[in-house]
Amino acid sequence: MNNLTTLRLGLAKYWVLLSILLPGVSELPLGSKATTAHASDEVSFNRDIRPILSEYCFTCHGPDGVARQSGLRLDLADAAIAELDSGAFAIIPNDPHNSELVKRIRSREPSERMPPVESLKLLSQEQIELLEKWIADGAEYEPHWSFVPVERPDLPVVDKIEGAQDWLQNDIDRFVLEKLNDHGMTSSPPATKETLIRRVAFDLTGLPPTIEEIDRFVNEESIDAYQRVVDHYLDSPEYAEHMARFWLDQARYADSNGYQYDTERQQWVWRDWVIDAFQRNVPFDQFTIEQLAGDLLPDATPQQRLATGFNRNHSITIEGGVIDEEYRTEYVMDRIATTGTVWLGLTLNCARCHDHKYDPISRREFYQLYAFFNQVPEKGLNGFDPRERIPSPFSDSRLASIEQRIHQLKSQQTAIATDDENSPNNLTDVEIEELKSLEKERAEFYPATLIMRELEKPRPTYMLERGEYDQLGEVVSAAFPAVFSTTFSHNQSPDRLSFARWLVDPGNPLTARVTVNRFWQRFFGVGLVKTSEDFGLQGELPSHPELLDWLAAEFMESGWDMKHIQRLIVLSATYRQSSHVGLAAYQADPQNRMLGRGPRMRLDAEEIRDAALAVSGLLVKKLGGRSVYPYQPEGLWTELNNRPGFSQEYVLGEGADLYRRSLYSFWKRSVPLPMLKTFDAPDREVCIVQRSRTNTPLQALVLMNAPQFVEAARHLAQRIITQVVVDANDPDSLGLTADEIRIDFGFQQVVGRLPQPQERSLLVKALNEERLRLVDDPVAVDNLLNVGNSPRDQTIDPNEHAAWTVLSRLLLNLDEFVTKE
Amino acid sequence: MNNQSGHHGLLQQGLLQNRRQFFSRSSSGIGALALGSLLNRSLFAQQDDRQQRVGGLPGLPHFAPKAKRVIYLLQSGAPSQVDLFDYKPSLEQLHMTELPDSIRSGQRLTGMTSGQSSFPIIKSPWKFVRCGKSETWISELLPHMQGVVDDICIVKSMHTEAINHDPAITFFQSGNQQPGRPSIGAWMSYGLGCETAELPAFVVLLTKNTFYQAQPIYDRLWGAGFLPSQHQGVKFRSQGDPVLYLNDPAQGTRNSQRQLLDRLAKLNEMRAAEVGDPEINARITQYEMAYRMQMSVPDLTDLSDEPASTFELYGEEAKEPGTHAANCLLARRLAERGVRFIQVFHRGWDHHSNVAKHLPELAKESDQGSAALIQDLKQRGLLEDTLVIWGGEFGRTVYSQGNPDTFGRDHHPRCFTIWMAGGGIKPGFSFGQTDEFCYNIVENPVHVHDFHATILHLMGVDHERLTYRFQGRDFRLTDVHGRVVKELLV
Repeated sequence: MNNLTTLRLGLAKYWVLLSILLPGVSELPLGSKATTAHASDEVSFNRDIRPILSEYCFTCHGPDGVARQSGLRLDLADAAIAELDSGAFAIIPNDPHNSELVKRIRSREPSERMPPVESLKLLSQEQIELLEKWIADGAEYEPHWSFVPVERPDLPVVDKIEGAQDWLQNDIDRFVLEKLNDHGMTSSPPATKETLIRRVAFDLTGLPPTIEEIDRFVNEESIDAYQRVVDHYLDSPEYAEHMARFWLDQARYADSNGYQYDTERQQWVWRDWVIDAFQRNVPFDQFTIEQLAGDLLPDATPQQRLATGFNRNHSITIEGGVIDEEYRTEYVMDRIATTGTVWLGLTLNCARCHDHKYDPISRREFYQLYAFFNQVPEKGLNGFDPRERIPSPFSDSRLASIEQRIHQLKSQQTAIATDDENSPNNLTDVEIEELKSLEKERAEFYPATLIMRELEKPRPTYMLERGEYDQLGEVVSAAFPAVFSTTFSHNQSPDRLSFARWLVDPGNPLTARVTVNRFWQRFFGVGLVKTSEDFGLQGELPSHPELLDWLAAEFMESGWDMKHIQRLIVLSATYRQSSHVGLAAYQADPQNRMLGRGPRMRLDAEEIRDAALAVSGLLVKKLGGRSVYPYQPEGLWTELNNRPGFSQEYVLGEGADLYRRSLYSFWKRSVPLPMLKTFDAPDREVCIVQRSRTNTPLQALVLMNAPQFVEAARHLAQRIITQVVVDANDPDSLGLTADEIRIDFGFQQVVGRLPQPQERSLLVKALNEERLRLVDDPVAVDNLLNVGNSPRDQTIDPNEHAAWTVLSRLLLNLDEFVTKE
Repeated sequence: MNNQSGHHGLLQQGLLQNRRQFFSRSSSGIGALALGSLLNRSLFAQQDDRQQRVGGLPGLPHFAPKAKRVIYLLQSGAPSQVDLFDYKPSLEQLHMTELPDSIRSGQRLTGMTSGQSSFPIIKSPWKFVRCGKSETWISELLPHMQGVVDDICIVKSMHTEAINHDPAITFFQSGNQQPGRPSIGAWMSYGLGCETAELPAFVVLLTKNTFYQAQPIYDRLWGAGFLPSQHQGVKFRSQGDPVLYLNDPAQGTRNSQRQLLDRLAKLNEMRAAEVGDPEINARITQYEMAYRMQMSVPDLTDLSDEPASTFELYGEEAKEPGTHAANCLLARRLAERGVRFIQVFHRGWDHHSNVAKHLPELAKESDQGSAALIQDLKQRGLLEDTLVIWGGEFGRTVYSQGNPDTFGRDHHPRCFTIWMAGGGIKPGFSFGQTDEFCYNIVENPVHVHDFHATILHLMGVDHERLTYRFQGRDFRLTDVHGRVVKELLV
């Protein structure tokens, strides 16, 4: 029995309790950490040694020159073996006994011991032995894995593994199977077709499959049935909306300005650009360049300039007392932090005040990067400009028809006016009103979107002492950190465009890895690199390093084709595995880091709300446009801010606006929609690449009682009653009663499968109990049927409608409904 | 939207009587593997009070706490220290003289007064009274606080780095001026969990604002930042449902959520058996906890069990939901029930003009309830392990903003006053000194980071050891700063 297995068994029983007490925090150190607990003879610097040095030593003996103690620097090989201030040598390769480092970490003398007592850090015996062994073996350094350019690894040979030939679907599976096999684990059988289509529908569109889609897929025998389902979803507009939704978290997109007054902002045209870009499957390199520097492209189109809204999505203050430069500085800082996290998976902002404590980014290099983003003609206070009125990619036809009609009315007006009639305006009153309203609509059609521009005359960039806006240090110019060994070619100007192109240069070691890892995270809940926001030295090592590199290479070589790489992942056998594998498997690998089963996790906030709208038939599908105002309890905005002129009431939307997909909901940073927030949506004040996934009592209250869900239940009931035509004598009814057939329909709508007999009988019993209860409780019937603004089919008997509504509420509260299995 | 079914609805329908019934049902009705342990723990929470907690980190508290819970009465907008607590007879002489440059010493001002050509000193127009055995000076605007002066500890030497509201209040709440970090209450919830399974660990109460120029507040101030989001503060509201979506909007003459839960638990259990994912069991538990909240919140917010003496203490205003007095009373009821961190937000202290008119109004709103809370906790024996804090995000200038006749006071980060009480804090004690201009600290400065370190210390937490790894770094509430102000401790 190897160490790993022991570890799992040992922790398993605690995990169950932990996961309940601390939802979202529970985790086992499986994956990469577990591999450090190996008993193999080889010590690997990247896997075993660097994590120790980074965690325990770099704070004082790392890249930060100011904080460095005793002249010892352990992050670089040459420096680590050099003579110290004291004359000793921290590391003497092949000679651990005379290496000062070993003496110090073994010392029992508190004044000598490393790490120092006051750091509250303590090396384990195993870690001390690893360090010794590494020095004994020659103290070889390796470059940090994520800073080495991507090379496509060879495919593992797994043909000899039992059952491999039947299981493998594509090359991804070879890497996964090899790792499973190495750990004495096996893959899981494929998920049922019902489970699989629901999983892939949510993953690619954020919506559940329709019953028709499920039935078609389940009954389809052909070998490529699944591929066709995948392609169908990838080509749908819902895919683009779904992808955009993830991007909006990273882009810290919101409809309000943040900070204290958090007034409304019109930035949705940029959000439409994102949806459109995903719909066109714009290659990721172009997607990157246009958003970071579209304005600097030669002959930039309006849409390319619109794309640069990405780096204007940060909060902007209108608080009267602030100093312009103070906040302008924060906006530039935000751009670096966001861009660094999204594309590089680096915590660049750590080098704002001092050299980075762990990663090879000096303070100087930080401000050299800062210089790229410091050239926007903007202010700190009320810094909304630069802005530009650019059409949304979706609304051209509407705008064209408005303009045509305005033109028509105007020429009519002019023609008459020049005829010198008594009235200068011979349009009818109705036409005058129409003209006015059209002009207003045109003016508001595309509000001016916040975009990037470059100052004509560049601003000097100073290294800011302690990161403070008014502590100007040395002047620096734009450059890339030395670790990437990149310089400007002779014909390149050192501007944002060069920066953006460098991000997607095949030699950039990070962008492709970071991006494919986020796709993986989306499908499996956890990335191959769990710390998807940090690929630096403090980040976790990849669980499957070769697979990550293989995917990154594939991504770049496909021309940065986002659909291609996602298609590959969802077509893999790894993805198609069942997640119904029993408690022991969940206890052994709670986060599924070994990928021995299919992903199973709670849906995101937006997916849950959208799913309720979809299964109840309330969902209104329409691409893009102004943000909308769905249900929220009264007073949530004004109880926080009721200052005249700086606040507004939440005005509930009307009609279709209540039933749009959640990504169109008005996003107010200071008070996000409570339903979304309760299910872990961030407030979008800062860039987020990984949401929490918690399980709380407040979530239960939302699903039970939020009007959106009660209304959805009422509509689902209506669908069940009106859309299921029951003929119990039909041989297809399989001897089921009319109620049972209806229950099956509702159940399948909600979770994508038919109920088991015991589930069905519980539901029948519940339905009959409710019928009895509601006959005696007209108040309940009335209340149930009046939640929500949508009309009710009055032809349905109220008692019956109410009983089915109660049943539907039950279905919409099932764990399975809010879970991707 | 309909949100009319307030918590009284639940009461009327006899749900409270169902409480016992619920307890007897839930233990047998759920029966899922690990669930039992948790439910049983909380089932006995009533008898085994204070021994049990829900959530929190193993190993915390680091040492025996002096305070088990915090009630933080945040006076947003920044009350004027010079008119309320920091008595300066020296200003009699200095009144209407120019603030010397040597005192301001090039300090940054806000954009609101940086353009002023003159900075005339304005003495406080209010009398100060020497009160209590401790002979502490308190403004006549705070007659009730005068009465509890021997129970509180006044810190006159607070200072902060931020000079505008958003960064300053964000700093107070999270230890950082820019958004993104967890709030104090979220740290408490994360580290120490809650002493009840029926209520959240971190509860936020918002006082209805009456001042037309009040600074807004925002969810970030009680947000979880990068901590798991269940640690964010839960607002208890004075309009609509006290907790969002607490009540069934489709309720009939009898509550039917128990039935919903029982059926749901059975269906989810069937699924759990089939799938194996313990997360399903966790969800069943969360539904049960939601139900507990439904049962316990009406009891919490229904003040009919309070004797008349309560309203003599807190004032009649305490009967009106959403007033500061009502929130102080509610805070006591939450504290009694084991909530870890209760924060009351009282807005409206931002008086850039006409201090003479506005400050008495705000002081009146805050005075009686805040003082009553101290007396009430004391008489119930709760003050000794409840830390109460009263204060804003910075102070106000001694010089006039605008016309001295209708003087305002601008933001002042260099010195201001807060008070603390109970939970291991020295009673009847004043700490720190400011200069004769009430402009700079001359003795014992207390920085916001120190304030945080001290709160954590009282709660049994070493502020250097409560950390969370995010973006490769172990973050703390106190960042890399903070000193426990031992001088304030008993």
